[in-house]
Amino acid sequence: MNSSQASKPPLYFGWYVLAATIFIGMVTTGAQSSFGIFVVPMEKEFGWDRFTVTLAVSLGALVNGITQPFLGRLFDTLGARKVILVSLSVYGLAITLISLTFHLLFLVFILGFVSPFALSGTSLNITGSLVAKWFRRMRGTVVGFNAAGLSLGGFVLVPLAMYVLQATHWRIAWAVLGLIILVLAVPMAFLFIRDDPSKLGLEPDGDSEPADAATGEVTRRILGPLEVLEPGKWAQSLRSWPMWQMSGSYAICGFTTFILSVHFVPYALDQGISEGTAATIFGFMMGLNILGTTIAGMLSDRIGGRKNVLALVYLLRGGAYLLLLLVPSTLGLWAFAAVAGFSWVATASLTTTLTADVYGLRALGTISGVSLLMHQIGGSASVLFAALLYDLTGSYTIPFAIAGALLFPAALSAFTINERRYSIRYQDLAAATAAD
Amino acid sequence: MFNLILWSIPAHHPGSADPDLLEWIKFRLDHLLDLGPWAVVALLGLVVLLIPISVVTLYLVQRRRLGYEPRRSHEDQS
Repeated sequence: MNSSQASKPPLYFGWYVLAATIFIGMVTTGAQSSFGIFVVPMEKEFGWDRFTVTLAVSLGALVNGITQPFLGRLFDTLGARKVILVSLSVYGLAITLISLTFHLLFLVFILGFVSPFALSGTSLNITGSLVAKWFRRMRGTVVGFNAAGLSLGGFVLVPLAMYVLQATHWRIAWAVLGLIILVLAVPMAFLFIRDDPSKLGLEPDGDSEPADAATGEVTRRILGPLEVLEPGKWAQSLRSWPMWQMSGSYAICGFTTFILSVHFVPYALDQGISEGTAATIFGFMMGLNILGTTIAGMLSDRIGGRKNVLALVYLLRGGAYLLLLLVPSTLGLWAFAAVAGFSWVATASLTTTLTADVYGLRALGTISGVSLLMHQIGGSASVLFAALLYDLTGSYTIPFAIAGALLFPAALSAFTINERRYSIRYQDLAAATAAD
Repeated sequence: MFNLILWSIPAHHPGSADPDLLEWIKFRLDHLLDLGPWAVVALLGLVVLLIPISVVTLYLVQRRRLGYEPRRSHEDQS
């Protein structure tokens, strides 16, 4: 070993944890998103109608939303390693088992209950909370990278499943997706997922301060004023403003993204734009997710106040809605996609990061799970709301205008979070200033 | 309308994509790549394989060359 090799510090283990969570997010979300390509061949083989198949998928989405806080609680009490390894193994097995589908009830059981339950254990809520434990100074950046893994799944796994399906049979394609999870993601999780840096004798960000020798716990100099010290006391967060400010704006985030995911293409068709162009614009917007979430995460680490970046993201999306409504035809849709794409997933990583900074890490899984549940409720309500208003008015103008208008109070709600008072980042800063 | 609502519930975050949209994307990909299905499967399969392989290789190289071995976790020891 030469001297340069000897002096070069090894890569911090947290980066391996991050690589594992990104890969897990990529393959699990990819497998979930792929279901759409199996609908037609499965309908043909079994004679099911679209409504029946859709029912199974939607049931799964509801189960996934409801189970988030429970899996979050397990994450807080049992640790990330156990929750992610078990959930990932069950999810991989469930996806493989879909290849053996013989009856509708079997599909409903696997797709409506087993896989969404397991998926909650590998969701952004869980993996984001895990990487937040491994990084402190770079928390926003890494949680943003982690969220980008979800979008990667759509870019890699979905096309892979499409071509396996074309080359073989839908049963083989499901088995391939399941085996990718079981053979590649589970071993990667086994190797690299560790509950927190103190279990490996490390400090967050790879800093060199020693952990407490007696307990193995890293002793933090200062606790945040709202920090939840035990997983069982997560409900304390509900008695403070930041939780409601973050969750309230997150519910509006769900409202304004779900509504577009479903009604964007129909809206474009109403504007006289072809389905192909509308789908291209929507795909372009989804592609910007990766860029948006990573840039927002990096910005939140580098410029003052994560809540300012979060508020900016909501403002951007509000501006995008204005463009959509005020600029006519294709140009308006492209302008909307360019602006809104940056904000699509960035809110998720920023909310998780801010939650970790304000409420600490001990009950982060549960608190983030509750926030995510609010997001899903807001989202589901928005779709029903938009569909009803469309039926009443014959246009998407009113529902989209309401959605866009809601983003401005959401931005205000995020902006007024008293981060200087409650965030551990500023507590550290205050302590350092006092020490000087 | 009810069908639309049902499809919408999983939209955004982990959920299933619209089958019509996926069919259209595949049509565009066929034009763009101009390759047989097995060639695309091999290409994308390689991408998926390379991610964990490169991460594990980097970890093993670091461990071997730099003597890097994070302290074993409590659950590993038990």
